[in-house]
Amino acid sequence: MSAGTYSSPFSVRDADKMLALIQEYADKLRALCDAYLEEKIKRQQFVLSAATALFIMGVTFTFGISSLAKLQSSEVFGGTIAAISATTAVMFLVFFRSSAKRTMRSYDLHQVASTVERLLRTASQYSEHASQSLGDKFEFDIRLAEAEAALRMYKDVYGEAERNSVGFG
Amino acid sequence: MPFGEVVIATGKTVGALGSLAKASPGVMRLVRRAVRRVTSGYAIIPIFGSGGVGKSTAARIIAGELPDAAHKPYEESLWTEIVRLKGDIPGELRVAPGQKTRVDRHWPELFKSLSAGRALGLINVVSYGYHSFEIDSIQESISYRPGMTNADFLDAYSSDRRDLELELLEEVMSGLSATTSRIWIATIINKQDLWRHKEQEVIRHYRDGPYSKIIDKVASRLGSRSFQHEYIPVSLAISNLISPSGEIVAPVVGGYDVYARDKSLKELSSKLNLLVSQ
Repeated sequence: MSAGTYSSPFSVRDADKMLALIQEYADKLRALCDAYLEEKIKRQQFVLSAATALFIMGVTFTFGISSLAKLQSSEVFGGTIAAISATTAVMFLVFFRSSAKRTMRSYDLHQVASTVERLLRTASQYSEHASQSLGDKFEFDIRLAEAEAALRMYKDVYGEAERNSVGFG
Repeated sequence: MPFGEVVIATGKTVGALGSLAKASPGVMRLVRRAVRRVTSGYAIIPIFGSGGVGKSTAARIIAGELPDAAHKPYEESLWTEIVRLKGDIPGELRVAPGQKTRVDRHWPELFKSLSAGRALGLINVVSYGYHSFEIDSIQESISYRPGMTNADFLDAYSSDRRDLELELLEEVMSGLSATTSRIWIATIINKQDLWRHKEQEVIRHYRDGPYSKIIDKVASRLGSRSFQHEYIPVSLAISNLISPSGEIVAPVVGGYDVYARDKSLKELSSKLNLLVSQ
């Protein structure tokens, strides 16, 4: 085989497989990030509406029901505490259930993100050092950029600091 | 309060601060950093170079990490790494990712800090083409041809990577085209442990070859009063150039030991200090 026609063992098929994997995992990562964000917004809405409900409940009980029923101040206090405790208990139940779900989702998110990172590094290395065997370099570069964007989205969504400070004396 | 008492109280406070500073070098360092922050601003030093030349290791060592802890197995950087300086100088090193595919996306941001005059200078890391890589075997490289020995491969591979070093230096220099303020460039010629046996050839390649011509173009544009350049041969680590599957592409030169490395690191430190202080 002449020097000019040599192609490395890393074949076009391998490159296609890698591209397909990158796309698959980058899409998965983006979908998980979307779901994570959506859940975060829902959680915020839940906390906000629960706080509003507690406030309304407290006000209604103190100034509405108590004056209508002509309750003693100790009964008003007891009733308010009971209502708030019941609502808080329901809130905690809902919150812990969603928090368990969130933990599971964050495991998925980390796992997929680390796979994308690994794939990106491998693909980029092959693009840099074995590029003659890559069928469509342009497409390859675009896919890499897309996957990088998905990874960046993950870092932003998950609040991971990109800044890397090294500890030293 | 009588004047005498004020003087005595002030003297006591200054004395207490002095003994606190003596007892804690950390306090002194914080004070020096604060003074420098006010007088000279926040230092930004971008680090450029191809992938696998040792930019991240260089940043960690310059920032103050011990060489043995700073050297880690090669792993490609996906984006600009930021390493904060923790010594007397408040600032940070910004390590640009070196793969060609990332140059367009990540380098312009660093060029902006140079043209805005926020960067003191820049570091370009090269290694005479002895670039680390992460493809599994040398047989997968575009530089490999059937029948090549590891030494043949090293010749072809390092020559190809030296061309890339020049290509990326051109890129850095074009990024400097908008810079008019005073600036310095340090060229760190890394991996001395791998090329020490042909040191003259390596130094000549950079000092007398196309590399220096590219640098000279910027030097003549900015003038010698606004531009300074230093070559700093160094070994940031002592390590064979090896493929992930274990093929030794370039072994450490016989006799190159930690003393030689530490000597080169001292030289790096003193030259950089000189550039920064100017």
